[in-house]
Amino acid sequence: MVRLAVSVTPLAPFLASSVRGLASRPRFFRRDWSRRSGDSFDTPIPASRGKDSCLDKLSVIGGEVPAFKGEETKLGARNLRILILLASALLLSAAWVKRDSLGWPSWDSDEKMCSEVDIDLPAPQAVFRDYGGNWSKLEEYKGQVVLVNFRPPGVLPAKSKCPLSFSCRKSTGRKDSR
Amino acid sequence: MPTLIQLQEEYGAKGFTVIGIAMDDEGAETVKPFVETRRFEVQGAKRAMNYPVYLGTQDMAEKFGVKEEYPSSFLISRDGRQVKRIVGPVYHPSLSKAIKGLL
Repeated sequence: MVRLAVSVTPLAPFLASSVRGLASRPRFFRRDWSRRSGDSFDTPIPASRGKDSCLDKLSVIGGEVPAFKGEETKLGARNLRILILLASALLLSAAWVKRDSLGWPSWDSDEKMCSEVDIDLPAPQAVFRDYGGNWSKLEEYKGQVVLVNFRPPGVLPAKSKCPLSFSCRKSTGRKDSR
Repeated sequence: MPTLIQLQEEYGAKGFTVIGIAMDDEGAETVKPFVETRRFEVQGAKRAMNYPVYLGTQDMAEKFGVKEEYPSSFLISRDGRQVKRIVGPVYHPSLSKAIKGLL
């Protein structure tokens, strides 16, 4: 997740600006909630609404409908922001699809939840006894690649027994923990 | 355990084996029914444990340097050297990659 955060961080200003752009929509689309339903366009408009209000302009009966040049510019900027947002989403989606090659952990994996360390030590001289009472040595497996896995069967690992608390919370939450 | 069963299935014929060490205080009484009857879901199918499981002791665990960290796994190469130590659940892709490199 750290890698994901690092990958997304450079996109943060673009995403933030896009979100801001959507939040501050052009005034053309805003509704003037101060106008009551009974008002007609002949009703004098208080000066506090501003000269550039759309409703103010429309209230001039018989007057010329003002051009929306400013609004067109804002719409263009808005489209650009949406485009950036979509491009960012597309980029993130592509990165998520290729997350294995990028080294991102997969959604349902336990990767990096516990430690995995490269070592170079001789295998100890261990003797094993199975539940049937038969003995065998680790040496007998020489020539094979062996994974020795220590765990109590049927018992989920106790929280206090794992050195990494986060990983233990996750692993103990699963019925068939790996 | 599903991951271990899957790895054993995939690489067992190529010279890889999993050795399970059951650190259970009750020993064979608990381990035997668990190994023989328990089924795990591996890639959508119910599978029994397909690798040997031995009874562990604290002395044995300490030989590997395991004190109280369970589960712990050790990858041992063909020439008998420990090359990787994993504390916690094993992760198939990374372990699979490591095993392929050793086979």
